[in-house]
This record gives sequence, structure tokens and C-alpha cells, in this order.
Amino acid sequence: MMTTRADTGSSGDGDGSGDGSGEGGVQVTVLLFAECRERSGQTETTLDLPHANTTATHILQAIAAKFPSLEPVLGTVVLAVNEEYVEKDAKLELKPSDTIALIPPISGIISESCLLPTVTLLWCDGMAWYDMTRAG
Amino acid sequence: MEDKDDGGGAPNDLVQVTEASIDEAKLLQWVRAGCTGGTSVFIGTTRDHFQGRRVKTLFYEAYKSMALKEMSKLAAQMREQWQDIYRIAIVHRIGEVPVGEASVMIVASGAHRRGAMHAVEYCIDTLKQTVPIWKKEIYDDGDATWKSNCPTCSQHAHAKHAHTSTHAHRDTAPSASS
Repeated sequence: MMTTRADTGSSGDGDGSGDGSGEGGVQVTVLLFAECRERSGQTETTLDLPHANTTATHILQAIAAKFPSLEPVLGTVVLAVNEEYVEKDAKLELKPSDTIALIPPISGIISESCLLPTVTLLWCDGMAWYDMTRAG
Repeated sequence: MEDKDDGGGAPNDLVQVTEASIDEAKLLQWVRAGCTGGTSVFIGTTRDHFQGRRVKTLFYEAYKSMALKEMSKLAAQMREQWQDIYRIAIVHRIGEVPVGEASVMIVASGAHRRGAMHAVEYCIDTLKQTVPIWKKEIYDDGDATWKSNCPTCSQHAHAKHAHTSTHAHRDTAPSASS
């Protein structure tokens, strides 16, 4: 599905400039905890994003594409980037050194602005993202 | 990355995430001084039942480095709201916490009781909303569930919460600890 990281060690998924800025893609670290860790079977992974300028919503969509087993719980997951919570619509400019964490519900943490209303299934052919949940 | 138990930071704020059992007497001793007229304490303990089911044990998991950061922020927020606080200790245990043992202890001391009492209440309510530590209830029958302390907040249709909100559902007691 997504292209794997380049052998040269440069960041990104090969369809961008590789410097992690602007229109280029970026590869970030993702930490998984609690129910997300159990469902995915991983504590830490990498995620290739087609654009460094992105939002929490898009990141969660990419995670749903990589880990379909997480899809049922991603609606209540909040993201942290470099140990700071981010709102779902906040504009992010990610760097290869950034660490994203999936934060499942702690308690009354749920904020409407931090939730996905639905998780959209996306597919990427290495050039663009296609929304598979919409017909046509 | 170094995996510290302590949050560092302000000298009169002690924040810790540890697998060791909580030394309650030591924390109480540390937080009190000649200048403190009032000391308030909250201890969260693993309870042996939840909604009619017998709880065998609780298991806590943390995003440790972020949890320590959030606990330090929380201590700063307590001081901002109650200026006569002297010392604050926030200690959360992770890993298995058997029935009857403490999972979290919050202590605050201050010149007067009112600030210390309110600060501790604010602290536990906010901690359960903002500090990335998760709890899994393991029952006698072998079943286990990751708990959200406030199930009503998991519903989309529920009232809005912000990460900085101090609102908490205290009346439903929906898990085998406070």
C-alpha cells in the first residue's frame, strides 16, 4: 500500500523532496499504548505520511489504513505530538524527528475538538490519497 | 532515552511515575514543614469489586515521559490557583496494583487548610483527564477491560470537555478505584 522507506535513509516515502518540509512526505515515529498497543501488537512503529503539513485527522486516517484493527477505537483516540496534545483540526508541520502518540481515553478526557467524527478509509498509491469510503 | 521515575523541575513539587509501591508515610513527611498549617491527602486504592464483579487486580500503563510533564503542569496549575501551597507530591504507580494497594497519592501542604484541600481535589480530577496513564481491570473470572473512568464521557453526544476542564463525573464511581 504505502511505499516503504527509501534505502538511502532519507525521510519520506519517495514521492516528495525527502526533506520533510512543505510538499514532501515525512516519516514519523508513532507510540501506541493500552488498548491501541494490544490491538496492533506494537508499542512503537513508523508512519509514512504523504505531506509534512497535515492534521491529526489525517494522521489518524493513515494509522487506520496501516492498522485496520485500530479502526474501532480511533474515534476516541486523542493525538499527542512530541508529548503535547493536539486538536484534531490543528495544523501540524511534522519533521522526521517528531514522535506521535495515540492516547486512548483516560477518563473524562474526550473533547469534541479532539475526536474524529468518523474514520475515513484511505488508500494511497504513492502519489495521492484516495477516499475509499465515498462512492465515486 | 533515560527512563526516569521523577519529573525533575520545581524543588517543592514532587512528581513521580513508579513501579514501586507508594511510600505513603515518606511523602507525608516530605510535604509538611513548620510553615504548613494544613496538609491534604488523596489516595486512590484498588477496590475489590466493580458492578458486582470481583476484581482480581488492576494494571496501569503510562506514557511515562508525557505523564511526568503533565503532572508537573498540573502542580503548576495548583500553585497558580492556590498561592499558599508549600509542597505538592503527585505519585502514580504503574504495573500491577493489587487490591487494597495505592495506585495514586496526591499530597499538598499549605499555610491554610482551604488551599491544600481544594488543590488536592482539583489535582485528582484533572489528573484523570489529562495525565496519560491507563488502567486495566482484571477480574476474577479472567476477563479484563481497559477502563475509562468516566464511561459517559466516551459518548459523542455527551457534554463538551476540554483538556483543561476540571469537570469530572464523581458520582458514578464507574471503576474499581476512585
